[in-house]
This record gives sequence, C-alpha cells and structure tokens, in this order.
Amino acid sequence: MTRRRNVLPRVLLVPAGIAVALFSLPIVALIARAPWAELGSILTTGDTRRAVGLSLITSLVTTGIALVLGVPLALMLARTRLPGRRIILAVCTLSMVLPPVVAGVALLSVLGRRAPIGRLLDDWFGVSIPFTGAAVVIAQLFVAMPFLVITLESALGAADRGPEETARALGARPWRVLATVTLPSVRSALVAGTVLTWARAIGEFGATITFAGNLPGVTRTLPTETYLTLQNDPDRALMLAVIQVAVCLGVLVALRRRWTPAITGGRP
Amino acid sequence: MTLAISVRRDLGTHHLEVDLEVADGERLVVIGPNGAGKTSLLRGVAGLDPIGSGRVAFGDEVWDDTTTGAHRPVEARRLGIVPQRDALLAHLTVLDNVAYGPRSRGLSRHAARRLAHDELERFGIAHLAAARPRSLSGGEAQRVAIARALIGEPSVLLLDEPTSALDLSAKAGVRALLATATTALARPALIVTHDAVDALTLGDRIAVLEEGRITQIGSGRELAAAPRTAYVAELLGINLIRGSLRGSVLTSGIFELTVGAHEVPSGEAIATVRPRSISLHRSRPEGSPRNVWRSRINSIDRTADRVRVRLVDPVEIVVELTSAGLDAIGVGEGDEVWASVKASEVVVTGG
Repeated sequence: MTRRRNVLPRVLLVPAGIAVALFSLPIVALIARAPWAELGSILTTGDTRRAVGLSLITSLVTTGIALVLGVPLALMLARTRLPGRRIILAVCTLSMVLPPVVAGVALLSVLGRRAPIGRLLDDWFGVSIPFTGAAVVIAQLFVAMPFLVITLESALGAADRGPEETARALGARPWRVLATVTLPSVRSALVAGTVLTWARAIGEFGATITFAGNLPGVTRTLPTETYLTLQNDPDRALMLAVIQVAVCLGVLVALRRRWTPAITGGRP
Repeated sequence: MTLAISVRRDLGTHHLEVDLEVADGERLVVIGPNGAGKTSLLRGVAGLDPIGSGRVAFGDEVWDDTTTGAHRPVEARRLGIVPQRDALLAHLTVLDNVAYGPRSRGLSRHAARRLAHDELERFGIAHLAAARPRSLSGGEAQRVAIARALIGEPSVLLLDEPTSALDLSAKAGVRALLATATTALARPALIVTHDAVDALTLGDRIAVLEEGRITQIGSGRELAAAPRTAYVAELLGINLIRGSLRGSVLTSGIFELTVGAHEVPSGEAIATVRPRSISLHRSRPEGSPRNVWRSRINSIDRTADRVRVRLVDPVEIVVELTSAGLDAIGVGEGDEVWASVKASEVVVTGG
C-alpha cells in the first residue's frame, strides 16, 4: 500500500489542537479535581438523590412528550405542502438558538400567573404552572424538542418517497405505511433526535431556573443543584458535575455502534 | 374486465393526452422516449399522480372520474405493481416483501407469510425467502418484485420499465417470466418501457407515446411494417423519410428518392428503407441502382460483426453492413461516401 500524501497544510494542526484542548482539558480537570473519596456520601445525601431523580424523571417525561408531539410535527413539515411550512419550521426551532434565559422569560410571559393563558388556567382550573414540576418539563420541551423535530424533518426530507408509494400500491393504508415504511426508513434519525432531545433536556438550566425556579425536590434539577452548590460547597459541585459527565458519556458509548453515525453525520 | 384509461394532464413541457383500453389477459406496452409521459401515465392509472381531467375505470369499478369527483385511493385498487427502481422494501426480507400486500389487505401475519412462501415456490425462488433485498442480484430482485405483484389476484398489473435496470442475461429471463406469469393471471397488464425488445416480446399491442400523445398503436409487426414516426422507425431499426410524393419520386427538401411500385396517392408520404438494403461506395457506383447520392458519414457504430453507419447530408439515414464490408470500402467517420439503394427497396406508405 502506498502512503497517501497529506493534502492539508500542516499549520492547521495548531488551531485544531487548540480546539481539542479546549474540549478535553475541562473534562480532564473536572475528573482530576473531583473529591472521589466523598463520592459515596455525596451520592447518598437526600439533596443529591432528589435532584438526580427529578432530572431523570423530568427529562424522560420531556422526551416522551417530545416524541408524541414532535414526530407528527416533523411528518407534517416534511410530508405535506403546508402553507408557510418554512416559517413554521423556523418558529419551532428558534429556541435552539435562543439564550435559555430568554426562553424562560418567554414562557413566563405566556404561562406566568399574570400572563394571559396562565391567568385563564388559574381562574378556570386553579392550576398554576410556574414553579412546578410541569414547568420544568415545559421548559425542557421548549428548548429540547427542536432537536428531534429538525433531525427527523431533514431525514424525512432526504428520504426517497418510492418505498411509501410502493407500500400504498400494495394495499397499505396510511397508518400502516407510516408504521412499516416511513418510520423504519428514518429509524436512525429518530433515535439520534430522541437522544439529542433527552441530552438537552437533562442538561437544561437557564430556562428551567427562570420559569420553574429551584424548589428542592420539585424543580431543583441536577444542573440547578450543581450551580447552587458551587456557591458554598465547590467540592460537592465538582462531584455532581462528574456524575453528569459520566451519565452523558455512558449514553454516547451505549449508542456508539448503531446510532452515532446519525448524530455525527454518517461517520462512525 | 377491461381497464379503460382516459387522461388529459398538463405536464409542463407538454400535454399528456391518452385514451387506451386494455382487455383481460392483454399485455399493452406503452413505449416512448424519456420524458414522453409514460411514467406519468402509469402513475395516473395507479392513483399515485393526478390524472388532470379524465376517467380511469376497471370494468364497472370507477377508479377516477374528474367529472363526478370519484376517486378510489391507491391502496384500494388491488394493484399488482412493479415500480421502476428499488422496487423492494429494503428493510424487509424477501418473504415479508411478498407477504406485504396480503398482510396489508387484512390477512394474519402467519397466513400472509404462508401465501407468500407458496408464491415464491411457484416462481422457483423459495430459497431467497430469508434474504434481504440488498443481497439479491438485479434479476433475483425483479423476480421477487414480480412475485409480489402477482400475489393475491390483483385487478391489473402495472409494470414500469420491468427490465431496464437488468443486465442483458437477466433481461431475457425476466421477460420470459413476465410473459408466462401475465398469461396465467389473465388480467389487463400495462407495461411501460423504452426498450424495443421488451415491447416486441411482451406486447400483444404496442402503443407509442411521444410528447404526451399516442402516435401509433398496433402489434409489433404492424408497427415494424409501417412506422409512422421517426422514433418508431429508429426504434425498430428502419429508416423513415417523410416527404411529398409525386408519381414514383419522393421529395424531401433537396433530396429525391425514386420509390418502388406503390398505390399511394400523391401528396405527403413516408418512405421506409431497411438499413441493410443500402450500399456504400467510395466513388460513384456504375450500374443499375436508381438512387445514388453523395453523403457524409456522421458516426459508425460497431456491434459484433455488424456495423451501423449514420449518414447525414442531404438526409439522415442509417446503413447497416458487415464489418468486412465497411473495411473493404475503407472510409471512416467524417468521410465522404456514395450511397445507393434500389428503388424496389424503398417502400412508401401514406403520410
């Protein structure tokens, strides 16, 4: 085998190396400085368990709701000639680029106790959304669901329509076409979008603390807990951060073989 | 029952304007150049594309009627369909591909698979049942697609370019399979192709579709004997010269051709000349031929031991001769050459 000559200018190694350092050093430092001796005691405190439990439950509920709402939305955007579909897509994915705090303020301005819909909910049903577990889920949905929608929409847009037509011609009704052809054909995008949504949801901080507050056991999720702990117990904050790194790495590794190509754009 | 098609649809570059009937057990081939509207026609009949205005009916079952607004959805037409490319559902096994139609129409998974297995056996491809489409050869995949189209007594068969993706050796096998299978089914079969051999071997009748319209319809022999457009003539290997006929002379621009005995009245006419009946010479030939003209070789196409030489100026004409024959004359592309043909080899038909 002949060695292929490298076509890239070597000087590019410098900025690329700096980029790698930027990503890797904080993680390495985090792991190195974490007080591993206290891992057991930190994990077993009530505060930690409550925060971890709340984060897991809310992020999973968010992911479930995102699938129920986001898959139909992506299908509508990719498979119909909805008027203004590009505008709808832009609106539905705006929160991906919005500062999370702004997302929280926006949510308060519609669902807050004195806001139009929030007041109606309060008057008619006695329901108040802000500063509840529901608010945590709504905040996560608002910022995380676009990852599912946009991933799935682009996969559906790129997918060949031929198989769907063949299925119809063979006698399959719309629901059967959807279940047996359309969704299987975008399976990896569906999984990738779901994982991205879950990861964004479990890491949500800005919108959550703005819209849902930080009531222990109710709305104080793991990122919030980490941020607050940093003020008075930096060692514990480091350990909480390491736990979150471990969870995220665990998910990436578990999905590595089958699904990361869809997340990383086709390269294993 | 008869499949009756009447379609008027604007395709942008031209109008699709087709009226056709396909009888039970009849194979009607629609042949035409790319972009003529063949696939649009087939998709319209299937219900995958709008038909513009018109009517599609199978017996007394109306599938589309734009005057009444009647429309039967694709999935309710019980079609046996072989799409043009990637016909098989890639994520299903061969067995589940063939079972897909019966399962969609309400059979249990078990019953559908048993039926599919019987069908695969009937086609002699039961050993492929567990295979994925990706691992099949082109010919195998097309056999599976045909088995899938024929399972469960379809109302009509719609085949879009059934052999175009196959290599030469697989084409013949798939054609033979299609011929026997459609005969056994005894339902209308509409086959769309641009392959003349498909048309001649499969078509009970051949309809020629050019720029959205049927320019000629008939058996292969009828079309070969009296092609009415250059496309048909070229397709079936025949030179066709349109011109005005007066007595025994056909005039096409500055080109004059003495034709054989005929009973065609003067006026617009078509002369056909078989490529093999024309001779080429390096210099002006002596002797009897009535038609001698000087021309230029535009291209030379060698296949096996035969050569097709395309002449241009003053008319476009294809000459077929042996490789040795061409070598003996010693001319090549771009060279001047003399051509001759006996008047008796020039056959005129009415324009």
